[in-house]
Amino acid sequence: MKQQKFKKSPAKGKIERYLKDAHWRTEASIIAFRILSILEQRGMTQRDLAAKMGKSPQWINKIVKGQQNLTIGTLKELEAALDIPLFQIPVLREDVVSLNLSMDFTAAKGRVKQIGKTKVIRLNVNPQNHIREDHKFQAQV
Amino acid sequence: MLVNDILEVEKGCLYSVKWEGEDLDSLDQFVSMMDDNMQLWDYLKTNSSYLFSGYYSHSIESAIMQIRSEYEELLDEMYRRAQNGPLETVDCLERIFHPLDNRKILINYKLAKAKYDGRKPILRIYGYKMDKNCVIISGYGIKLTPKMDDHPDLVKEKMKLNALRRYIDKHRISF
Repeated sequence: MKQQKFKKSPAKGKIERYLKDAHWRTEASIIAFRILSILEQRGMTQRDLAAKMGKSPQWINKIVKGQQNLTIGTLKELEAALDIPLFQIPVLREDVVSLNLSMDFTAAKGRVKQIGKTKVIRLNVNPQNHIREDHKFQAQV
Repeated sequence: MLVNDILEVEKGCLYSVKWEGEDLDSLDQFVSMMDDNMQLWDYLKTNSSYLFSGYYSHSIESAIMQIRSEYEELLDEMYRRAQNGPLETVDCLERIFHPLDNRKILINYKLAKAKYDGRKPILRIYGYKMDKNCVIISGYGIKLTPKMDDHPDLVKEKMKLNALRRYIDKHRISF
């Protein structure tokens, strides 16, 4: 069979560009859809949002298409204009835990603080008691 | 439904049909639609009766999130395998393109991964499998119904596949 020659599809370049930006495209799209949903609920157009923010409709259009790598500043401006959260960063939290300690301790309370992937436990221990290195204990959080 | 041209995406492995009357080839249309939230949003709103028919339990927003997740994985898997070259038989396109209805020449794609938590995959790419690592893309679909015959867009995709099959037979296409 005669080998045919084929024209190139523009899809190849688009695929490569998308995969290069994939690390932010999904989140940008989710935010964009959230904005579209809010605008529809409130009967607002993209032009209304642009006017409220003092931006061009073209700029808003790029955002709702999910094609913008949004800065934190832009996100905050959008949140203020729409009065909704669009992107949240998990915060450090402290939990109160009860520890059942063996040996000389019946119970002790402490606070758990999450720092990155590590849980750090600070115990409030009666100063008359002390924890020895060979003590074992269980923690219920 | 007539084939206007077949365009090359990755030589020897991935090709895409340009249908008569359409500006973009099939894969370009797919990527362009997925790249533009407005198009996806409008499509799901237009087809909301199908979306809420019970086959999927989705809101538009959750459907979009699933579609985007599948799209990214599908694109990555397809393009990566296509770059392995036409002689690849293990990490090849055949692994992700399965028979549409068990007939040799018809294929569709189903993304069946555990990370989707058992949800039915919603995105489809349709094409003609020429070889283990060679596929001609004929179209794509957002499958909101149990059967292709239940939605006019998917009926059209079936017609495209048949038209492509006839074209390949008639013109003895090879890569």
